[in-house]
Amino acid sequence: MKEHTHLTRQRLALIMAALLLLTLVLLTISLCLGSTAYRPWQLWQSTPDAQMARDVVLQLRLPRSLAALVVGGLLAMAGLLQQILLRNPLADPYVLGTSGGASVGALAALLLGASSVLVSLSAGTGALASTLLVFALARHDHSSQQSRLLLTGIAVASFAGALSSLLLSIAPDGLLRGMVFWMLGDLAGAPWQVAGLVLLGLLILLWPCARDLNILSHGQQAAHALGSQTRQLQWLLYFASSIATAVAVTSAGLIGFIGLIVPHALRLVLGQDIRLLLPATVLGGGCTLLAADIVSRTVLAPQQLPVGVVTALAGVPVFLWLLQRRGRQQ
Amino acid sequence: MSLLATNQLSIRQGQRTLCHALDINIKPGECWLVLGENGCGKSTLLAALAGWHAPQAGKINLHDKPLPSWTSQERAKRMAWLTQQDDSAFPLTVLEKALTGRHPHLGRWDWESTDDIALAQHQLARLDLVNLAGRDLATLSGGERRRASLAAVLAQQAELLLLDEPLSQLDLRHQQQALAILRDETNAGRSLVLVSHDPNHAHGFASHVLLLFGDGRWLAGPVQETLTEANLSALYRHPVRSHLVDGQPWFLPGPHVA
Amino acid sequence: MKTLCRGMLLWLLLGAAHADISVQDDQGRTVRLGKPAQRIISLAPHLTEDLFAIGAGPNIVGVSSYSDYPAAAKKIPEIGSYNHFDLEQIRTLKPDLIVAWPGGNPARQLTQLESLGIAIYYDDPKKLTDIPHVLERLGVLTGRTNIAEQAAAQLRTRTATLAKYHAGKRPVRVFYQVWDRPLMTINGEQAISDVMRLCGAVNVFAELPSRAPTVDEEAVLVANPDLIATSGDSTAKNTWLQRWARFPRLKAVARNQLYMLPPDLLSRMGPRLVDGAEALCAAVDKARQ
Repeated sequence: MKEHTHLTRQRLALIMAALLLLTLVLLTISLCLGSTAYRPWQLWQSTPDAQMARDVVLQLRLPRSLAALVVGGLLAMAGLLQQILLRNPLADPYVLGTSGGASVGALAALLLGASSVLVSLSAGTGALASTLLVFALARHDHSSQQSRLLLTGIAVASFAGALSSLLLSIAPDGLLRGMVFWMLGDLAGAPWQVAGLVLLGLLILLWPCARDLNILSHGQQAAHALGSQTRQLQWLLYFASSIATAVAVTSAGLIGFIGLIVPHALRLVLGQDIRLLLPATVLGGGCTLLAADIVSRTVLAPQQLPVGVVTALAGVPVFLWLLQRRGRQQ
Repeated sequence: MSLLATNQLSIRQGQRTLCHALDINIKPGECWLVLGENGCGKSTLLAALAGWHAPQAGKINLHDKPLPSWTSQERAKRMAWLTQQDDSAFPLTVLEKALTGRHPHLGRWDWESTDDIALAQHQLARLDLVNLAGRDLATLSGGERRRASLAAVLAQQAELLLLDEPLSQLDLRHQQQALAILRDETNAGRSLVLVSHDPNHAHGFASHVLLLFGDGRWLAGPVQETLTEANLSALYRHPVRSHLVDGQPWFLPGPHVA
Repeated sequence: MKTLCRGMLLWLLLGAAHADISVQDDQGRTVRLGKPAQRIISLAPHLTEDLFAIGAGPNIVGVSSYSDYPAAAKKIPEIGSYNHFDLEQIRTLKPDLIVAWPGGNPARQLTQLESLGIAIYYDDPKKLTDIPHVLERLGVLTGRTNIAEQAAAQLRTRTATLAKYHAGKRPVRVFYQVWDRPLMTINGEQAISDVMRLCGAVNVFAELPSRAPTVDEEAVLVANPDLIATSGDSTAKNTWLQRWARFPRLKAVARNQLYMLPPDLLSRMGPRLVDGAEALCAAVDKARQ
C-alpha cells in the first residue's frame, strides 16, 4: 500500500466521492427497508398500493433517513470540533458537558410544559451556557494538553448530569417516562430541515478555516506561530460545536458514541487533515446513524429499538477493532 | 536597520520578573544565543518575542513596527517560532508536519502547491528525514520529532527564527548537522534567536549572546565580549573554564568551589 | 366445670370471630387482620381510588403521590411516589394495613415493609372484570362489606351493559397511542386491550411480545386502524393526534376517528377504569357508524 504522506485535492475529491456514494447507497437501502414490505419502485406503479407506498417511503422513511443523516453529521462534527479544541481524540460533546447542558435545558423546559420550540431554544441555551462556563473557568489554560479545560468540562458534565437526575426525580411520572425515552434517542418525526440548514451553515463556515484548524490541533502556540488567530478559532469551535450539539439533541434526543467514534475511526483510516476530515466526518456520522437506524427499526419490526442503544452496541466494537488494527500496523 | 528590537521590555511570569527593561536589537544575519539557568525565563522571553506572551512593559518592534500591529499572517511570514512542545495529539505524518510551515504563505482557498511540497521535502532532506516522510510523528523517537519540527520551522522561510532548544534530544551527528543548517541559514541572511543550555552550541556562528539571570538582570552583547568565563560562571553560579581547542574557546564546567 | 368449658368455648368462638378477617390477595397470600383496618396506607393512586370507592377514605393515613382522585385524597399525607416511598414515614404512621401494587412498587421496598410486620394486601388486577372482586376483598379488610358489595355490583352491571350493547357488533380496529415520541402502544396483555375486546374493538398491535412496545409509524399506516385513541396524561397535548393528519388515507383520519380520552381513566386499574371503558367504547361505537 502506498503511504499517504499528505492530502492532495485529488485524494480529497476521491474520498468524498466514495463517501457520497456510500451515503446514497445507504439512503437507498433505508428507503427500501422498514417494518413493512413497501419498496420505492412501487411509487410508480399504478396499483392501489402506490398511495400507501408513497406515504410509507416518502412521508416516513425519507424524512426519517434524512434526519438520521443530518443528526449523525451534526453529532460527529461536534465531536471532531471539540477534539480539535481540546487536542484530545477522546473529547466529545459529553466530555465537555455540552450534551449535558443541552439536556438540562430541554428537560427543564419539558418540566415547565413548554412548547417544542421553547424546548429547542432552552436546549441550545443550556449547551451554550455549559460551554461558556467551561471556557470561562479554564480560559487561561495555556498548557499544551489543556488538562484544566478537560477537567473543567468533565466537572460541568457531571454537574449537568446531576441536574438532569434532579429534574427527572421531581418530574411527574408520565413526563418522566417520555423524557427517559427521549434521552435514548428517537429519529421518527425528527425535524431535519432546520437541522440540515444548521449543518450546512456550519460546514460552509468551518471548511475555509480547515487548514487553521489543522495547525490549531497541533497546539495553540504552534498555531499562533504559524499565523492563526487562535483565540477567535477557539471561540468559533466552541460556538459551532455547541450549536451542533444542541440542534442534534433537540432533534433526536441524546444519541451517544457518534461524536466519539466517527471522527476517531476516520482519523485512523483517512489521516488527520481537517480539510478532508471535516466533510468526511459529517458524511461518516450521517451514514453511521442512518445504518444504526435501519437496524433499530428492522430487527424487531414493527417494534423499534432505541437508536442510541444500537449506536453504542455497534460502535464500540468497531472502534476497538480499529484501534487494535492500528496498533498492529505500527 | 533592525529586524526585531525590544525597548525597555519587562517580562513577568506570575509574581516573578524574569527580565527587566531589556533592550536588544537583532539585525539581519545575526544569531543570538540565549543562555541561562533552568526556569530563568528563556522560553517565556521567546514567547514574548513571538507575540504570544504579553509583556508587562516595554515594546517589541518587528521591522520598526510594533509587533501587535502586525496581522498574524504577516507576522508569521517574517517570524517563525519553534516551541519546546512538539508532540501531536493526532496522527500526523512527518511531511504533513513540515508542510505546516507553509501555512502563512497560503491564502484561505490555496492548497499546498508542488513548490511548497518540494520545499518541505527539501527541508526534510537537509535534516535526514526523507525516508521518514510518510511516518506518523507518534512513532518517531524524540530526536526525530524534534528534527521534523525544525524542518517545519525552516519551511516557513521566515527572516527570523525563534528556536527554543532545537537541539535537545538530538544525537551528536544530527546535532552537528542541525547546527550546520542553522549556520547556513544565518549565512543566507536569516536571523536566529537560539535558546540553549550549552554555551558551545553557537560555536562559529553565534554573533551575540543574551544572558538571563532569572531575577530580571540580563546581559547582552557580541559573543567575544560577553561569552566569558566570568559571565558564564556568574550566570550558572558554578565555575566555568574556557579551553582553547584549535584556536577556539570551549566552555567546560570547572571544579566546584565552595 | 361446665360453665368454664362454655366460657372457654365462647372465648374461642369470639376469638375465632375476631381473627376471621382474612382474604386472599392477588399473589395468593392470605391477609389476616385482628380487626377491620383503621389506619391504611395506599401505595398507588388507583388503590386510593379503590378505598374511597368503598367508603374507606377516612381510614387512609398515607398515600403515594399523584393520589389525586377523589379530591379528598389530595389532603392525605404523601409517603413518596409509587416507585420510591419513605419507609420511615410509613412506619411512623403506624398503619394496620398497607395496600400495595407489586406491578409498580419496588419489590425490595415491599420486602422491607413485610419485615416490619405490617399486614400487606397485594393488588394486581389484570382486567376490568377483576376490579369488583378487589373492592369486595378490600371491603372485608376494612369492615365495609356492604358498601363494597354495592360498588362491586355497580361495576359489574356497567361492565355487563357495555358487553351486552357491543356484543355481535362489527369489530373496530384500534391503535392506542400511549406515547408520542417515541411512538408507543400496548400489546394484547394490557387491560386496555381487554377493555377493547369488551366493546368489540381489536388492538392492531395485540400480538407484539413487549407489553409497551415502541412501534414504527409505517407499521401504523399499514395496520390502517379505524380509530386512533390516546388518553395521554396531563402533559399530553392535542399535537399527539395531529401527527396523523399528514396521512389523509388512513381510515381513522379520513373518517375523523381520532380521540383524546380523559387522562388517567384507562391507565389506572381502579374503579374509574369502567369510566374509561365507557369513553373508549363510545368512541368505538362512533367509529362503527
